[in-house]
Amino acid sequence: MMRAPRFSFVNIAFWMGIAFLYLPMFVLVVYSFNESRLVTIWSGFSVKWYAELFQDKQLMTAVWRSLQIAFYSATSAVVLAIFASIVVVRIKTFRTRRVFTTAITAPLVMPDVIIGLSMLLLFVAMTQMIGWPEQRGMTTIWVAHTTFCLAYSTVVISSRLIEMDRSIEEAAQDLGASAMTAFVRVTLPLIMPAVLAAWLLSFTLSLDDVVIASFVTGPGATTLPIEVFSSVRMGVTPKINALATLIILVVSLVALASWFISKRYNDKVAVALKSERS
Amino acid sequence: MSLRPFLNRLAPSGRFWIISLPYLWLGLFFLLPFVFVLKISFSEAELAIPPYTPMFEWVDSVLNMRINLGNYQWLLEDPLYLQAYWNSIRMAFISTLLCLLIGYPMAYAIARAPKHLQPAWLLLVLLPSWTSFLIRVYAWMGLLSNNGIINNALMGLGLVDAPLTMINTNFAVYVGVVYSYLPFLVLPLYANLVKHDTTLLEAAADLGASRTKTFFTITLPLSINGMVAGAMLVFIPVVGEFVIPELLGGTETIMIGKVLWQEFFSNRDWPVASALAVIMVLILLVPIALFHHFQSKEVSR
Amino acid sequence: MSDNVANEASDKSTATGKNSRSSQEALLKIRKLTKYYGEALAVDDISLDIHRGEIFALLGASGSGKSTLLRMLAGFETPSSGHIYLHDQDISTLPANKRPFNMMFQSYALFPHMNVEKNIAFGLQQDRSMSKPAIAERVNEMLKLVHMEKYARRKPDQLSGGQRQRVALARALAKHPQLLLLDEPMGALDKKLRTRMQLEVVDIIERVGVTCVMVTHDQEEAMTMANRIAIMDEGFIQQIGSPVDVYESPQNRMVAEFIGSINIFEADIVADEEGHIILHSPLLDRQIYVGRGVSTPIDEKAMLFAIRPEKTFLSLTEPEDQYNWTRGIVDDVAYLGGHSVYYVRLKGGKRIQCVLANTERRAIRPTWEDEVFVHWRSDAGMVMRP
Repeated sequence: MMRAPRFSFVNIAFWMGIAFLYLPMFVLVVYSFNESRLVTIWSGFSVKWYAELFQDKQLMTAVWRSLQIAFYSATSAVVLAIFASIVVVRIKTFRTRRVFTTAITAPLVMPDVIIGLSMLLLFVAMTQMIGWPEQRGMTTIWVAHTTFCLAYSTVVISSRLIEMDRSIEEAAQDLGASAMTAFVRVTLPLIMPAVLAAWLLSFTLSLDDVVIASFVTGPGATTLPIEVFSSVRMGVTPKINALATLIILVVSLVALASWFISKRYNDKVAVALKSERS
Repeated sequence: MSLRPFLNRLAPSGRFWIISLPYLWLGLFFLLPFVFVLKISFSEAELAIPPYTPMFEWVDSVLNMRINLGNYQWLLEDPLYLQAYWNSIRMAFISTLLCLLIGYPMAYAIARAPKHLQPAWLLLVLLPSWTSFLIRVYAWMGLLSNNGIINNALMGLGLVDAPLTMINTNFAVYVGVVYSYLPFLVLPLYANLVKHDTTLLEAAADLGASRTKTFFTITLPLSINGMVAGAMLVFIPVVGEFVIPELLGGTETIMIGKVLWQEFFSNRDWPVASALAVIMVLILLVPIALFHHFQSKEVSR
Repeated sequence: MSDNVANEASDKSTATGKNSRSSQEALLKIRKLTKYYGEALAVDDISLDIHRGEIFALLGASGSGKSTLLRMLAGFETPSSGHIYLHDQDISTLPANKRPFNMMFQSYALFPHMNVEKNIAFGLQQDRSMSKPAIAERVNEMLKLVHMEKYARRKPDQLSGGQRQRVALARALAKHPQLLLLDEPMGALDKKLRTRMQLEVVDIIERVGVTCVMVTHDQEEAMTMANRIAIMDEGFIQQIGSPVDVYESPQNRMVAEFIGSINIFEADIVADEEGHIILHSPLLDRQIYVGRGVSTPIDEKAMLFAIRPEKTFLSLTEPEDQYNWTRGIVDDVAYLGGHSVYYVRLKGGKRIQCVLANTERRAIRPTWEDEVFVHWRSDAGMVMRP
């Protein structure tokens, strides 16, 4: 193994890149505790913006609504993604597998404005033709979010499923388990970390989306990102800084926790899989 | 008792339906919508709900189909739109290059870091991308504004007399794009670099090549798949980006995502917005194909 | 040469010893079994019987169709045509989980998230009628059988290669399968451990008395473990027989060359008498006198004469015999400790192999570029159709 020296060009570049990624957030967090309304001038420590944040009923409703949408979207996307991954992995010929993978991951490489616009036009046409959806709102956002989360989740879950030694599932069937039992008792526990990771990823993606939701939402169904976006357009406010700080805090805690859990699990399974194979 | 064979016969087809559910979902909610975008791009705007003319109409018990090419003609005639497409592509290209310049050394550093540190370093790069995209862009609004932290610092140090205009310029958009999309490039690039056989580098060194020479003749050519896949992962969404030019860009920043948004929400001209989308998809077909080509090459390696 | 004779004798004795345990009654009948993958023919019209209580090895190179045949027996692949009968009952289309067969996988395929106990219990739990105490009892029995009682609570990743194999074997045997399938049983072990585990696995199988079909590419493994061996090539069976049969009496060139090393010469029959034949090969100085091994009536003149390297002798002086020797130059010598392999170049340029047992510590032996004489006994070689 040829290792770069500690203070090599690439290592310096790496830590500068990390500084670039973290400094803006750090500043954001610091200024959320600023007493002044002017976000750029420090005038003293205060948590008053947090208090104001929790009193903002409209914002809190949007938070709750977004959490609900994210929960439902992530759950349905992950369930669909498990099915999709089974299909992708079962296909033996490389060419056909590629077609199916390309199809399922297409939403991954499509600008948000196009997904949003096209979904809205579909919903409008469907309302005209079959009367559903009667009104756009949480349901339509859920459908749209499930669609693009499905793509991300399938990538995560299928890459894990492909890695898995196929004979482990065959062994279960050989020992008398039905295909269903084999999947539930053997395959699913082994891909669980990937399923959880896919769920968390979908959850954060849904919680984050402003463009697609803006297109497909309807009256009275404002999500948190839409709310934030419309107030951010007006300029920087300390209240948004406070909200951003809370979001950063929650997301990093969840991400770190899930990373540690999946790392511990992964290491164990990876060791197992590797030694099974070698 | 007679029900059981019947159910048994139904079971495999039941399984078939469950398995194909995600594909049905995608067909219905991802592919089908494009048909409607195409359809509406050929209609005319109208003050109605929905605000466009129908394509098919029964006139005297004859089915009439109306295809209106006016929207496309309109897009070609008004230089604003062509300018917007060109700007979007140019800015996406430049920011992809910037991402590569910054992201490659980072990915390389992670791939060459001691094995036990690699996951932590990778997490360090990816963690910001899990927090809200909107918040990351917002963070730069505070930094770049005229009385923002950077200008205050520069003036405090006496480096400049008057604040530099950074917010609402293309410069701010580049910063925002690179900042937001950098992790998307580092991840596939790292995945590629970490799989490299390090004995190749040792062999090159053994044969007398310097570190730099080895990098340009061995590592770089071998990482081309990961580079292109990662670059497309930045390029494609940036072409259609809306949030960043809206929040950080100014009047000079005319990008197609923003124009589409305005046509749709401000002018309520759905047919023109659809036509804009159709052309955008056509432009993106090449990079999308590139992405899938290099991505599958990468996977099959 | 005494070494070889001893080996042969022990081979025979163990082979007959193993044979005594298997009856001639067919447990499994395979009839005209064929499998296509798209256009590619993997298994080509195979018919054979597996006898109750025997260990049957499918031996072949990769791509010979042996694994496909095993997977069809297990129920993971459906035959394109043909049938598999268990006790005269057609099971060709029965799914894997309904067959009374269990398999030990090449990778062992132990469930990484379950401990040893749970791995062994898994198959028993699929049988709804079995009570919990009965399962526990059977699991203990199996743990005892493979000497793994101490490791019952360990996860597979905390076991060594040999221990994992024992667990895999116990798991496959727990359900009292009518047929045990072994897929490359020693494939995941290193060479030293392999020899030990081969004997251990055979010991356990014999103690349980289960009928066993194994797949392997390793001829030593097949010969050590199996009563009967089927040599597979390009989807069909070239020869079925005991280890002695396939080594000493290969039916064709493919089998002869696949098992062990062999020198093959094209030769013409010059005399076909009662009890012996005489052949002539342009590469050999003297004619070949074959006293036995010609069982089929020979109507063609052009034949193949084959002789194993360990059945030849090397000398520095010219033999006095009329038949069965030739002159050559030593091209290369591979000293392997117990014996040396000599590569001798004949006058036509053909290189043949001769094995010389190193029975003396520092004897004077032929070396590079020496002129040597290769000779053999009249019953050492075989005559085959080309």
